[in-house]
Amino acid sequence: MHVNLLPSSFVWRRLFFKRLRQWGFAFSAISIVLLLGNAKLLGEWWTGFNKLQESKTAEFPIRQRQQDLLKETKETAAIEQKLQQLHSAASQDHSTAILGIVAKGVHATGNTVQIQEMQFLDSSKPIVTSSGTGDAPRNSATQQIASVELKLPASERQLSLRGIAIESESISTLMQSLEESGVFSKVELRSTQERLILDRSVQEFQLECINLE
Amino acid sequence: MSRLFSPIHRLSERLFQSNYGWTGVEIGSHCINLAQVRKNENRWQLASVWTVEHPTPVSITPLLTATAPNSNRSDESFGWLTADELMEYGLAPSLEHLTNLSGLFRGRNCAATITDGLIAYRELDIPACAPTESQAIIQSEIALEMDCTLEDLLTDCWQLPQNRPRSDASCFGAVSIKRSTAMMLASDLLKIGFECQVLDAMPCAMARATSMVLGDCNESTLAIDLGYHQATLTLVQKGCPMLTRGLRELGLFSLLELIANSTEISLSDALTLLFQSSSHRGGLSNADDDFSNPMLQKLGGYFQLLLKEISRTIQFVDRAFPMLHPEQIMLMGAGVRIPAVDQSIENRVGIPTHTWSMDLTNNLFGNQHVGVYAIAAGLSSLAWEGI
Repeated sequence: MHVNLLPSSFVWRRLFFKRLRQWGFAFSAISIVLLLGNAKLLGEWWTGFNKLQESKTAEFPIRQRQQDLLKETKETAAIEQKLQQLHSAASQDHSTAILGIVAKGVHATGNTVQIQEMQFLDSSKPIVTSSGTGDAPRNSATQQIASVELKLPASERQLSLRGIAIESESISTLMQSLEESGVFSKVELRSTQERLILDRSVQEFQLECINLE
Repeated sequence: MSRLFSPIHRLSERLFQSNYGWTGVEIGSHCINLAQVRKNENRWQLASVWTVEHPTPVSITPLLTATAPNSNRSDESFGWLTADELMEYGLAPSLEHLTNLSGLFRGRNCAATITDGLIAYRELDIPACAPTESQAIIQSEIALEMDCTLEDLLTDCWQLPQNRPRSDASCFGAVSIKRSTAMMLASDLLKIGFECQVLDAMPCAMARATSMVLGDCNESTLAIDLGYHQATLTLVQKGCPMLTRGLRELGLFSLLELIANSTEISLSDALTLLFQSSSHRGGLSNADDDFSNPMLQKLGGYFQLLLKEISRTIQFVDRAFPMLHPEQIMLMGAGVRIPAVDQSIENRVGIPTHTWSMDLTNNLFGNQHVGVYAIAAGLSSLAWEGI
């Protein structure tokens, strides 16, 4: 047992500050516990943050590479576009292809035909004006071009060929070859006339090739 | 470093406070005794003890010299406080020395009491009534006796066994102190970092100290505190003070004065002479035989008076409360430092007499008379009373 001679005012004041201190301590303890409880979460956040920083660092060269690739892609696209334009421009010039087809026909006659003049009828521009021996180009490129199905413009749909042949059969063979090329739907012999060249009798002829499409 | 601002101290206080009691502060007229007990597997131990002597206030030194005309008393190195001096000077000069002891005692809580009769004790018979009414009546009685207002007085009381069973009156032991003194004491303790939880009375502290040593046995024990200004006899049963007597003429101070006057030495020298261990002195038994030694003559006279009062008290107990006949005597207080005092009393009174003792948790404090710290230990144990 005990007695207490402390003044009640002192006791109450002491009790107030004691409780205040206890609550302060409890609040501090709870704060620490909560902080420790979330330590794992904080650790995970910190790890994630570090990984994010690392990935950002690693991402930089990838992004640079991506930009380079995009740039290259654009450049490639531009080049392709230019190539297409060039190809388109090249395709529009059908003279070479026509020349190849004619050369193929000449080749089919066994070089017994010589084309002296080749001209589109609707155009005053002559494609070939030759006075040679009749040797036409025979490379593979010409053959490949000849196999292409040409869609000739309206101004180039009638082709006039003038030349000489050793015999009439050669003219016939040439016509057949031109028809089989598929470029011309109709090949007509306009005229033929016998001539003497270097004391030899040859057939001068004029063909008209028509592309109806 | 003040304990108020020591985080480590506060942390350790919260972690280890459960095993340790409060700091018991016994404020006597000559010194302040501090003790802290701890419970180690239901076994009491003294964890820390300390004593601070009151410094002699310059202003009261002439007073001391006047009361003791011996010229060689002016070199006193310690003071003796009376109730008036305590009121005038407070405890601040003495407690200043305790600020350096913050590491010695755990916790801020303390329980204090003022011994040597500085808290007035009286027994009152009042008509049987409700406890609150009894307390009010007691407070009024004491205020009337002390000639002060109720607001200026703090009192507390406990019921004592009735020695007249047929009477309608109840007997109370009552203690009182002036409000200003209690406030000053609590404030002074707070200044040095001790938060006073209880200002207890000496009989209660003596009863608790006795129970700590003897346990809750039903045997009555006569606890005797041999203080500097008075000897206090308390009959203890089951941890409660059943009867208390304050004997002012049996204070050690009066004995020291007699010795100092007869041998023409200072009070401090008389104190050393009284407490020193000597193989040729065996307390009262030998003192009776050696009348040529003036100190032993005075000591013999003191013991005779003490034994007479003990015998009177026991006779009164046997007559008024036959069931409370003391089976043993427990000595505590500064007087236990007198060599073979327990044997002297046991030989004359015929009742087993022991000096209050408790194990020290370590030997830092040396082999000293721990009975001096009995009251402080009793106060320290208040931590377990669920206040």
